[in-house]
Amino acid sequence: MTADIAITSRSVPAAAHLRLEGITKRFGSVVANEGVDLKVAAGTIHAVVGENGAGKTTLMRIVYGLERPDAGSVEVNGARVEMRSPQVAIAHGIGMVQQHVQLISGLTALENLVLGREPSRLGAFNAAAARRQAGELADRLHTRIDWYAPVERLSVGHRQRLEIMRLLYRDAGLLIFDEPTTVLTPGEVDDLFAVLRSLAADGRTILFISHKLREVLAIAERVTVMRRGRVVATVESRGTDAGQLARLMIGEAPEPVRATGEGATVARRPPRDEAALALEGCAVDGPGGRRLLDGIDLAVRAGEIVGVAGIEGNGQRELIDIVLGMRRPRPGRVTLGGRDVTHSGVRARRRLGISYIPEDRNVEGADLAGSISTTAICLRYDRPPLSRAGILSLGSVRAFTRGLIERFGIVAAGPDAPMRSLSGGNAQRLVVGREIDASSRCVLAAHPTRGVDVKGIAFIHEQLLRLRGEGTGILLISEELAELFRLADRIVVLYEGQIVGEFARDAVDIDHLSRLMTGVETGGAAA
Amino acid sequence: MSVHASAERVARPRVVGGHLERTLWTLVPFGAALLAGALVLLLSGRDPLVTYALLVEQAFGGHIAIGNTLAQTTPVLFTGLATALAFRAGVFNVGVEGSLYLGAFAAAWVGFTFVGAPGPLLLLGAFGTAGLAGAAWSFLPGLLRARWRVDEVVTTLMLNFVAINLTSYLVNGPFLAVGTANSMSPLVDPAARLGSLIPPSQVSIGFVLALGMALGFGVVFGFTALGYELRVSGTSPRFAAASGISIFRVIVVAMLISGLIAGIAGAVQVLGVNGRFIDRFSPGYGFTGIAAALLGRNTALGCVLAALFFGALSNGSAMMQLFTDIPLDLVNVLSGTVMIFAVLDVARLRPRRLREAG
Repeated sequence: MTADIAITSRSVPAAAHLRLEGITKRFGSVVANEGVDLKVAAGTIHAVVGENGAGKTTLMRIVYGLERPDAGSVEVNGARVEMRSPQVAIAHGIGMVQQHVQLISGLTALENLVLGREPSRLGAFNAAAARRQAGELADRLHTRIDWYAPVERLSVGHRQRLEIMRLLYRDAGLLIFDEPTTVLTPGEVDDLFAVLRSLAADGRTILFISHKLREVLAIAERVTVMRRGRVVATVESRGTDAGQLARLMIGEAPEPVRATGEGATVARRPPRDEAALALEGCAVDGPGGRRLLDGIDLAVRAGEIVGVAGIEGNGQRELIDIVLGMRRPRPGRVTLGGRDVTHSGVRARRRLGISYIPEDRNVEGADLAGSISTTAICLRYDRPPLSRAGILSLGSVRAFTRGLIERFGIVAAGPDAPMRSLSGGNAQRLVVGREIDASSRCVLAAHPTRGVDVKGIAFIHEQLLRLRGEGTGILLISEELAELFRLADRIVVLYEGQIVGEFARDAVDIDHLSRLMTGVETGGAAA
Repeated sequence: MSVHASAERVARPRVVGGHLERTLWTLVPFGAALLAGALVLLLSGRDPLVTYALLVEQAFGGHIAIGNTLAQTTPVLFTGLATALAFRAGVFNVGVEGSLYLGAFAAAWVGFTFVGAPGPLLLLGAFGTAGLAGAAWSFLPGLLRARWRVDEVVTTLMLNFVAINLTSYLVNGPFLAVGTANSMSPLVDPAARLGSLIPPSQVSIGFVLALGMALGFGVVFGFTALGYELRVSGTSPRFAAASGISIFRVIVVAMLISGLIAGIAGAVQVLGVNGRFIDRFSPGYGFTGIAAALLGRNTALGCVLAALFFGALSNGSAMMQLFTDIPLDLVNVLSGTVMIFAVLDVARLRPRRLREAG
């Protein structure tokens, strides 16, 4: 019986367990999914890969009834289903293990397992039956779990295992895993894969979301690649390799801007030898002893833009934190213009001339509850002319803000207007203007153009190139390869907290770069 | 240039709307609370207008009534400001009651220990010690929160009970007044007493101090670098941190100032009203202060209005019970409703802030 299914699914994609047709979902002006078709054969492990923001998670949320599509249909076992809510999905045998496991702390593992569908006898909770069923499930997954421990005492891997058992307890036939390995240690990943294989052998269908191609090739039989909300290809994992997947996922190489590009119009001095910013052997440990950043050696010279390529979540946040001073590397050393600032706080580093264009301006770059002035003065409010002896001069504050508004062409009603009255592009102009207004030795720019319109992007690129021309060292963290190619003199690749490769501006090999970004190839391979 | 002009046209009304809106929003919870209270009165078979008129008359009819209302307003205004300052900085300090007790005891101790010292020195010493005691009491929860992220709601709330019982022990044991009733300290030196503002009512010049504190609160948040740091850390902590503001320092400082104001509140009660420390003298001024801060939306003016509101309610209802058949319970229901509106207000603000962050 199982052999039959296996054979048919190998030849023709047989009975589709799940079939999506023309799924389209927009959030405002952002298209998360556009005309997505996906067919998942029963009893297989099917992976969906793509960069962050490619639309994988939105698609899965639609399948699980957490989002309603604007257009398109979902079929389960050949019958069309309106996925109005997760309850509907669960009723059709679909279960989802989210990235951050959804268990109720305070309850034991056993209570979490049966919650919502407790076995009962004569109307009372039948603990013995619950324990027996739990034991059977654990045996099936070859797992031992302390059923009477509160869930918060279980390891992350065990909590995830418990979540899987919850789905099996509810008899889910199609299990969706959203980036399940990001929170796991390598050993736990192997265990998880063993579990997934046994589930598939059991006749269950697995939908596996990831951006780690090595893992995907190791576990999945078929791989669907998404990019910018669309499906670009579905391939058999045997007939492909990571290089091909990486190319599909990242897309074609954009043309680097050469001497004729806009970069050339800005006066340019060659980078000087002095390092504006240097990181030496920096490491950051996360919870549970996972290394979030490891052995980072990176120098940004004055008058140079160094790009950091990599898929989000590979240590970018930690890199920002240790450069800015929000966190101390352990071990490691950070120098700014030759001065050791490893143990200096944010303010001291700001004083030494580090500017920060944050990835999310609404959270780190601006105070949305305040006025435009509130956001504008944050680096200078404590010094003359804006304040003397701790007393703010409101006149100077307004004049200073007005100065920024005029100099950077920000469309605003005035310094006292609420910050949230600014459009996204104008808000970003204000943040960028404020940061580069101070004479900066070094600029830390994290996804500086995310969510910014074309005009705003041009403005920001122009400013970064101008600063480089003036001798500022710039560390540019971006997921947009086009942006890195246009601006950076050098590109380093960050993967799982390590710098796994470095490319000179003129010698970028896009295939090689994408293989490094997706972890197909690791370490030691510098071009 | 034309772009600029059109932007002005579009955005300017919004700014005006902003100021007007903010002032209006400050009043909304009061009105809503009165409306809800009216409903409760109607349901209990009374004419809300008549009841309210009676309440207003008891609270504000004549200079003695006004004086007594202001006397009830004073401690709530202090504790409201103490709470609001911490809230503004993003610290949920619910331990103002504890600091109030410590401050009250400290002021009384100075007042009855250094009898005979010059009046101004005695007053200064009493207020200074009270402020320090209140600040010291809130230092530990501040430090715990800032350094180890220990939930300050739990620590400050629990320390309230420690403070109340600690001062109770002190005043029943080592500092029990000789020859008087139980649970009181000796009287403070008359030179340390605050003068009456509207004799023969209970209000002392402590009320003027409270108004001064409100003014200072407004000045700090409107015109100082410290106020900027507290405000920004409260509304956008990650923005503040990325700008170089030390959140650690902000939390500790906010807790210290909050405790200091609360300690002074205690001193004013002792030196202005009771003349001594009395065991469990506060009917929950610290907690009414939380309601006042919430109702007053953590602004100076809002706190003044809210404290007046609670002061009038408290004084008016006490009087009303003496002279009418309206039971005190009904007024408790009324102030309970007001509290609910104060809290509801927070619930309304929260999702909005989340939406902005997301």
